[in-house]
Amino acid sequence: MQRQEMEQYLAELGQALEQQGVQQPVRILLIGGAFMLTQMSSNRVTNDIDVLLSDIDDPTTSPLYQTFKMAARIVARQNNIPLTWINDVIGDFLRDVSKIPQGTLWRTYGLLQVYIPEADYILALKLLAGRQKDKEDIQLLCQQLHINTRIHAQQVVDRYIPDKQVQQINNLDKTLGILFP
Amino acid sequence: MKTIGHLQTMAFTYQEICQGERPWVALGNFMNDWFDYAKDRRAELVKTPIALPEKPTEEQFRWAVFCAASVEYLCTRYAVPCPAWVYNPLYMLSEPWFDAPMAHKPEVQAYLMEQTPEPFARRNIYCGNRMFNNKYELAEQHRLRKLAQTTGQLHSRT
Repeated sequence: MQRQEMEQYLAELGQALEQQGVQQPVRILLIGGAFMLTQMSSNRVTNDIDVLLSDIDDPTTSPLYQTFKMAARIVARQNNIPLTWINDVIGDFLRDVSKIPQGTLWRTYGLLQVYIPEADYILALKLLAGRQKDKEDIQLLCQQLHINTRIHAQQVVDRYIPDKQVQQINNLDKTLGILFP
Repeated sequence: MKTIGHLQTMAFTYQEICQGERPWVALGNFMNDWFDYAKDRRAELVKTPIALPEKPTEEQFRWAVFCAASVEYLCTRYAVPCPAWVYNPLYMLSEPWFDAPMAHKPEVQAYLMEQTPEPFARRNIYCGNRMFNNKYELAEQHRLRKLAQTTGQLHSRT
């Protein structure tokens, strides 16, 4: 998905939310590839739009969440794309293990408000994940944030994901060891 | 974005890489199908052999070997019948490929050699063991951990 495509789908999502009778703004926080695409490197693409829904603590009991998913389904149907074109599957994990920043308002599409987190939050998530596919993003983020040492990178992770057990389960030590030998 | 009827097979993924797509964008789309959109059609995703260009560049050949290793690894891990094409001895690198930042450092190479799963190491690819970590399994593991904690708390109260 390219940037223009992504913005088109988000605009359609804003319209669909209005059609669903939503009364107040729905706030989402862009993470993952969608963050990188819009904030760091406009010539890249993303597989889907990873988001966190800011106003929803528990998706299983939230009527707003059901409405949001319905609106996302409408956009998927309109464009013949997978239902998970906008993806919050990781939301529960991030709400439990990370301090989610409020972010800065980036775009408004009708009742949809799209927020952008601080770049160091994205770096913390990518360092925790430690995947090959994030290698270039990590290098780009470290460059932009002037992070050159292991200690500094560890501080960024500690700021957002302070639980050492979570860091350990995700082999953060090894990831940092490879990035900053 | 791929439309809903599209199946991101490994053969198509490799074709995209050869056409200039960034390898982890194409492989990311494959992973979305493998772990989510088409997880009930995994055998279909890997059955067609990848097609090497007539004169592959070094980079294209490396990714061909990586694709073969990935299919063997994923099929073994997820109990999917492994297609015969991945065992073609052609899919082998003559020199080790250490795929990680700072891979020129001996300690990084040692770590990669220790961690890399056998289907990759046997083909001379050393990339660690986290290349197919994904949000779908992470979310599911987290859900199960929470469930186990809740169940444990309930049992300890009764």
